[in-house]
Amino acid sequence: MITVRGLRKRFGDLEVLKGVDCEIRKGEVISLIGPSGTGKSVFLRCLNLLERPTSGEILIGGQPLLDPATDVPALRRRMGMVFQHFNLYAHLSVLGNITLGPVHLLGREPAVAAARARELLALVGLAHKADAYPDQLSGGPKQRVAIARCLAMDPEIILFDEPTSALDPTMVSEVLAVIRNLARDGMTMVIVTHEMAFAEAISTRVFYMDGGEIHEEGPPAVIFGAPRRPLTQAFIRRIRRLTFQITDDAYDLYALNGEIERFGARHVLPPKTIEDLLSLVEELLALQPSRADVRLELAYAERDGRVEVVCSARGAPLDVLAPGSAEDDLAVRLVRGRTEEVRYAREGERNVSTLLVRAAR
Amino acid sequence: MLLTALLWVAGARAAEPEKLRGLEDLTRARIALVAGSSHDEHVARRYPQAQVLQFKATPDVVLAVSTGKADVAFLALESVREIFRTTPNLAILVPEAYRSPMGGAFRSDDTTLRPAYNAFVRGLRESGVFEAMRERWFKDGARDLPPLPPRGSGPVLRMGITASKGLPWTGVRNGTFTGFEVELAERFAASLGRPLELVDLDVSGQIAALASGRIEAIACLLVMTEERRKRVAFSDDLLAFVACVVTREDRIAGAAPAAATAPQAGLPLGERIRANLVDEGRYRLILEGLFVTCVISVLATLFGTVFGGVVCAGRMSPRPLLRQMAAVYIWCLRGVPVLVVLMIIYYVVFASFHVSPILVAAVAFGLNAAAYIAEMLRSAIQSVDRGQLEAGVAGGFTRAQAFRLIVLPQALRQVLPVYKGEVISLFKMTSVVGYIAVQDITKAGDIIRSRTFDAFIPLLVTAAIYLVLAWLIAWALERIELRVTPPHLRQGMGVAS
Repeated sequence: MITVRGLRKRFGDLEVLKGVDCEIRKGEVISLIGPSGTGKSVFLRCLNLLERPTSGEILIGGQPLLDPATDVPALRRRMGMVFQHFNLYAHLSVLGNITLGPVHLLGREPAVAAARARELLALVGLAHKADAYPDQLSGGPKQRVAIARCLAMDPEIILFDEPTSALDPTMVSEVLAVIRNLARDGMTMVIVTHEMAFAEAISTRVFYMDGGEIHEEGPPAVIFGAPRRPLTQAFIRRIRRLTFQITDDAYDLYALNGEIERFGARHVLPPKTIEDLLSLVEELLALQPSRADVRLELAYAERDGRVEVVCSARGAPLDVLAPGSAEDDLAVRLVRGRTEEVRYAREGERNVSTLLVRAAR
Repeated sequence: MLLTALLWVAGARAAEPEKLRGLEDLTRARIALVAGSSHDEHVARRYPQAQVLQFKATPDVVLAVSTGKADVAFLALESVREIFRTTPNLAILVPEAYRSPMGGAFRSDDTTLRPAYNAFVRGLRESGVFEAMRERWFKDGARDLPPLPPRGSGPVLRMGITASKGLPWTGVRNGTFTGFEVELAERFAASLGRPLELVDLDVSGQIAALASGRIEAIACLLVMTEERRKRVAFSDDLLAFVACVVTREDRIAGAAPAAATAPQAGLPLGERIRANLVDEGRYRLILEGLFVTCVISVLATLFGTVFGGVVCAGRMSPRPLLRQMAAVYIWCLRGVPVLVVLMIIYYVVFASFHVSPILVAAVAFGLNAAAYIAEMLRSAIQSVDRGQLEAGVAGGFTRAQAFRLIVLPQALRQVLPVYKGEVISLFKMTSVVGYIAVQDITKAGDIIRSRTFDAFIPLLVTAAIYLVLAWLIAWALERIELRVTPPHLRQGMGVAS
């Protein structure tokens, strides 16, 4: 239902989109992933002409969007959009937000529109908030209202522009759950997101954008599991794994903890698991006889729900986690108590400990 | 603050002021006079070292002397009798300071009206009517117009008068102009077969109005000073103007020291209220003034709001030229005092069209308010985050629809509290319309003062009326504010109290 050919967008001297081609069919759920600043949001905003492309062609249900004769507002009515910052109408109640479009654009009776709005609010779990005002809601509910507002227009497709990026981590899952339900019901959607696990789980196809173009596309299993092109591979590795290099005793524990927390948030790990990882890594580093060259790697395997922690340290052969090996036996017990499995290997001049932590679901 | 108060008290208790004996004591005195009057020139020439206090109208001059703000005042001898009736603590220091011819005044290039006027006055003198008029107004102290010849039906003759000059020259009684000058003007207009329209202007505004064509002649008799002769053509001598010097009774050498008293302090309050508000139907002046003030305020607010919206649209337009024009407009109107704008529009822009001065005032105040309202609207519109407009557009609204349904309601709610302040300030600013011969409440108070020479009651009543109306405006706008505020934000919103 959407065909894009040779789409280019330039802001002054900066060419953000350098020729995007794609085809989006009815019922598809497309995730747009990729590093920041590669034009994912701009591409999405070109699809409903919030940004005017410099050149190229966009067909919505066969109608050329860029043709001056096209009734753009009419086309937009068929395409909903959910924004990163919700953009609810501040002067209207939740119900007013949802009914404004149907009443003014679709000519619905206010009572009919209100009844439908209440159904949609029930669908996103906010039936009790119909009379609240946007500034009385926190981020998660706001975004769910925004989704209900889109649905009220009976759109054929919904564009999501980083719908969870502005949310408190505790509220991400409630919004994702609503989007997941829409996917199950067969809604056509294009989602720009940094929630990789979510993208992998609900997408029918994933577009990896880099350098102003769709660098690689394919089913989620391929893009996340076995990407073909080097840039995609590097990106997937980067988001899958957290690597941290330590070169002396005065390493920045807070920076490391920050990265672990972000890693956890990215993979939607429960707070309990993140806490375990934090203390586990700290103990593990404390147990090392030398911190002159230690490399830490964290990876999350979605399939079995486990986090793999690899600690590779240069030095004389030593398994710091072997029972009774260290003076601080309590620390060893603490680490082992939080892991499901511990392996030790000697690789060249390095001692490699591999720990598997099951995510507390 | 405290220091100022102490100084003030100390000043009030200052040594008994010197007694005055005659003209020789004026050299360094504080002399009160009406700005633009003939006294002005005379005093500047004769007493260059004196401290001159210029006032807009006779009542202010009288008040200044009777309250001790000025040592002496220069007044027309003929006015003094009327003044002494109401301000008994004054006395004449010098009955004739100087004498000078007076007459009506015409445009310098006038060729028809002035000869007609001179012929008319000659006729009046020959028939003895002129002498009878003088007797009646200046000696018998008449206060109402006698039966006059019927008004003509030709084109309207506009002549300038100064109601604040006071009787016997010109005053207001029962809501109509009366006095020697008024009778003379009426008779003159009747002799031409034209209906008369009197335009009430301050002395200092008469010549400007004549030059701009707003009036055809000045009916209030002017002293023929050198300065004025350069600007206007005078009629033949009509009367001799006798200037006298007035001071407070107790300042005259030889008089017993009397306590400084406010004018009319002797009268009981009830009497004063009656004299200022009831006698001669003066409450009608106030009511009419109130009506005029309201009309100007309402029209100016409507015009200012609509035009402010237009200017705001220009200011936010994507076209640089429109943006520039709106910016320059706002810059000008915010930088020039509204009174000056008012006079420019009255004396310059509309100089040769006869537009109702009420309309002129509404336009002037509206133009001024528009500049402020435009900026208020702009900042209110900009305060609504762009994302909401974008959400509306993405949802299928056109930009105009999204603006009207999403941005505007929020911007208007934002703007209401400041808008309220602007409307009230506009309402209060209308008090300067007296400058262009509009009788609003303030002017009505002035006119009453010119008859009663009592500052207290008219000013107090005027102030009270403004206060109540300003409160009403605030109250009404706050009701609207409350209605457009979402219920959960209403708590703590003050209602004008």
